[in-house]
Amino acid sequence: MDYKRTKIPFLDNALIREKADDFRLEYSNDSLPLDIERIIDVKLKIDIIPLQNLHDHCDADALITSNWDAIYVDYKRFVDDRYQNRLRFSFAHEIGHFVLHKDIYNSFKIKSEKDFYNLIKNIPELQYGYLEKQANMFANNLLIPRKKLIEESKKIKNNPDIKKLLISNNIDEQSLNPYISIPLSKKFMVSEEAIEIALKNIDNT
Amino acid sequence: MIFILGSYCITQDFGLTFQERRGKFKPQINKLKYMSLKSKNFGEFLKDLRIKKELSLRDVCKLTKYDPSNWSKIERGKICPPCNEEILRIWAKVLDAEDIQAFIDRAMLSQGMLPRDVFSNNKVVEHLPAFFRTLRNKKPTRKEVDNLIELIKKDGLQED
Repeated sequence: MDYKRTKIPFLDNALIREKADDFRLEYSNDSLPLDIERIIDVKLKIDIIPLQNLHDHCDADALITSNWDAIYVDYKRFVDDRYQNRLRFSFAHEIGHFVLHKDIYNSFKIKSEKDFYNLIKNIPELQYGYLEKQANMFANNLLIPRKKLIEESKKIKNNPDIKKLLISNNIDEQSLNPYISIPLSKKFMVSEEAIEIALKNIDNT
Repeated sequence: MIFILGSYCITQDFGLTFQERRGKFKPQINKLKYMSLKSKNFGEFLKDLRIKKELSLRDVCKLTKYDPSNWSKIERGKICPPCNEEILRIWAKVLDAEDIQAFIDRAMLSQGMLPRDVFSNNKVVEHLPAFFRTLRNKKPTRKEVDNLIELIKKDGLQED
């Protein structure tokens, strides 16, 4: 197969958000943070397999297998609580591939290790990047439900001290985003960067 | 299916007579009637109990203070469960096993009965990642793909 000609279909943010919301509705309740590991392991019955040296030897922290039965995760990062938020995002990202990209993977017709090498070598970096971008957008929407994000950020912004700060410094609400992302990141158990992306996302819609 | 006898526990007990071994493990034969060797292996049984209790791999390993890589390997039939009755008793309690002694007996019986699961090329392909993007946000290098295939093959082979 000529992987050089691969074209990844465009998926817009609204569609990816809808898929993430549907997934959350099916497998979780409204509570925060989303327990992505339990959903993968207990509800989807996808094995989580800690693999030694996945990060050191392959520069990856989680990878879903092509039979969709297991997710390999770097052993050291799995047992180190400091990486928990990072891994939660990686797990959600792999579920993004699971939800969005099964058909695309099947279209690659990987039947041997040689095919796999060919795919990695020949698929255009840009097209491969789109797959990852879509999985990232899915992960962000899955772990940070927009409705909840709006509720939680309103709670912070309605705090009298924050309101005073806004008025006295004559600043708009959006300028607060980098600051409110700190408490919000703890609430949703994701990075501050992920929260900032999500906040920017709701500001633009 | 070929069964191998390779576990540390079994080889340790080869010097004992059958009665001595039976005495040591004290399997309750009446309870074991339904535990045919053809039935689910211990790993699958263990996973079923964990899922029934709605515990993730991380949860169960925290509760039992057991290594998650080894727990995962036991569930997938790559290594034998431990022989230590105290450890197994803790597992049975954490997993709410209906009959703790039957749980322990089943783990003991599974010692050395791992099917020789040769990791065929087809299986390697199934276990390749669907998509492999590195943390530096680039396609992996040839060396990284080689390393990954080696790690997958190593994980797929049971430890004799």
